[in-house]
Amino acid sequence: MASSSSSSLSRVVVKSSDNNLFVVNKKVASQSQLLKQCIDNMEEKGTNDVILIPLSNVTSNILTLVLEYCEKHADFADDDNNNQELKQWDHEFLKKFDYATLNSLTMAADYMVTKSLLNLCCQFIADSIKDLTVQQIRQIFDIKNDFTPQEEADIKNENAWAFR
Amino acid sequence: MAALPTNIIVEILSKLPVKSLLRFQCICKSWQSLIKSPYFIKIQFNQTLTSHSNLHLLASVEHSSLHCSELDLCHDQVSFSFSALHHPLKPRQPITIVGSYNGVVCISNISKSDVCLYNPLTKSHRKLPASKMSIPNINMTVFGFGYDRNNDDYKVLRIVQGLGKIDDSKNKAEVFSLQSNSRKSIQGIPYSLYYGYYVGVLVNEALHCGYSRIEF
Repeated sequence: MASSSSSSLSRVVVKSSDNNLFVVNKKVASQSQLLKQCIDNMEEKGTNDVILIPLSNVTSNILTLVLEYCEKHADFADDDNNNQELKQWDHEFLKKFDYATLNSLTMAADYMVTKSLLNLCCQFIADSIKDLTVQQIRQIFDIKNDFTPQEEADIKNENAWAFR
Repeated sequence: MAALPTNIIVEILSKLPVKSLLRFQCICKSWQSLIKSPYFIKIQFNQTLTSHSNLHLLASVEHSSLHCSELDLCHDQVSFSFSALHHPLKPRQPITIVGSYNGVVCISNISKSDVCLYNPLTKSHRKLPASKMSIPNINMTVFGFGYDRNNDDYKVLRIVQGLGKIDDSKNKAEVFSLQSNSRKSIQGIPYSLYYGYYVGVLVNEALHCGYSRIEF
């Protein structure tokens, strides 16, 4: 273990909402500002014990995905953001998921303060919904139409060109 | 499926092009009020600027019509597909582009009597009130279109070139402000400006006009 004067954690244990444990090394965990903050706090206190971080909002399915992303990005942490290989990987990574998974992943990225993953998910969702119809959007996001038929027709008339 | 929290909805919608946003206003009331809010418009606009997305190239063809094509700086663009815009000035009337900034385009008819600010993406527009300056020859008007960052305001400058000896009193000028929807007279500049097809060009937030050393 590290010397007693300055402590340095090499790993943390993260617990999902459904009580599964994940051992994560520090470099990977640091991709999430939430986990990084926990690690920094413990290090300041001089703890040498492995710490347990409970994430009450993230299921193990989704946590596995977030950690997969963090692992890949930790490998490229010293590269600039424009690495083409990483961009390609990001795209392939998200392509596999349905909207329900994408939404959960986006919320987990937000909760765990993994800004680059949040940004990536939002851009991916935006790109994939931009040409969809109003009806399709309501279905995907499970939104109830609260306009009267007249109100909806008025908005459509006002911007008729956008519906062509 | 769990509903996305508002901050994530904002994040996603801010990455959409204007055309999608206009359509998505009728998804539900909360999306409509979000998309219409100045707060969101600003976020979406900054997003567009920093990501260089949703760029458009504007062209006026032989002063008779206004055309617009999407512009892609991220990939090698081999061709443009221009489509005609139905601008708010009288159709089939010759027009000229005075200038554009942040997606707002200032156009005038060729006789310079009608001027209009126009957003081709949202199709919204504002016609300028007619000038009260006495204009001996309307062709001798020089327009300039600019943006005032401090006041977040779009302004249109109209200078009327005077004839004869050059002094301050010869050139009359007025500035229209979009924010206040009004114009005010300002002092002219003591130069013989190029007029006709010439317009002021906005560089570093200042309008630049060409002038002649020879008095007209």
